[in-house]
Amino acid sequence: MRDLAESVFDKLVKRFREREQNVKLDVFNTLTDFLKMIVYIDERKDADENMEEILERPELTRLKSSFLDFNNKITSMISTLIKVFADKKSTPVLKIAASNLLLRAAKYTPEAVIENIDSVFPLIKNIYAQTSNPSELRVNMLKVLRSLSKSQIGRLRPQFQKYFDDIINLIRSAIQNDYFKLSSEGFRDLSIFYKVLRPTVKDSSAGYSKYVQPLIGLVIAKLKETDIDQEVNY
Amino acid sequence: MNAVALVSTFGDVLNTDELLQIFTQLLNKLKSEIKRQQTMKALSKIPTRELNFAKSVFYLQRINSPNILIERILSTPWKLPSRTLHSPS
Repeated sequence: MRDLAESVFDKLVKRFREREQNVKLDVFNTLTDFLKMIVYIDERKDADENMEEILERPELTRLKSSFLDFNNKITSMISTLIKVFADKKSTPVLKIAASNLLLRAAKYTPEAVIENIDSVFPLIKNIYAQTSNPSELRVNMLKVLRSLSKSQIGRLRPQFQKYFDDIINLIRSAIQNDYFKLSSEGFRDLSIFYKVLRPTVKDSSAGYSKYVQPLIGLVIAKLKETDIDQEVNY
Repeated sequence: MNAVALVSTFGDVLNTDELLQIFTQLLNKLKSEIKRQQTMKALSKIPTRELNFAKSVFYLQRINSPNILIERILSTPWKLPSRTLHSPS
């Protein structure tokens, strides 16, 4: 079963070059389902993603034992996905589908994506920075960042830590955005970033003055805003 | 929700003024939601806001904040309006 899955995975990744957009979309959807198949995951977490940060329950997300050495496959998928984003012929619909696939990879196999953080983070940053991109795509990039950050709580790796300055700048830009979907997603990223900096209150609060304190004013200012839009839940 | 996360992680490093501002705003959110309780949508938000506030106080107690601060926050003057499902005419 594993051999079959692996050969199918490679073949699907190669089909990223497909010219027909609908076929490409189907390939992305199939790979998304495939990623779901190789992990054990607690689906309740998907039920209400706004609540997941405040519920401190044990999580279950890990690769199935037969797929434990799947990281190199994810690496090849990510490098091919980056080409899709860079391709000027890619339509917004296609880019959104590709971002959904990247989001699933970040959610189900965060460690494998962190291995490629040197190519993934610049991608997140660039896509977010381009205001001409659809909001859904930019929101998805913030979600990818959140999933990756979440995987670093309590087991921070140096290759992720070196992007702290860039991450906090990106979050700052997101929470100041006028569009509520971007700013609320930015705040969710920030909530997770607090935990990355300090997993428990017993840990050192060393990163506070450098990363968090400059943002306190923004957080309090946002809290003081009256609820103009009832849908926003910061 | 971000404020709850902030208090739960860095509540002990935030200064008193910042903590008071956060808790006052959380209380204000709760109050304004209760005032708007005429609609079912607003009603459904009250438990979330109450939960957020209660959780923040819980975290503050867990990080052993000085009792005087907790007392000050909890004694902030605020009064719940009488709960009615009919909008005032």
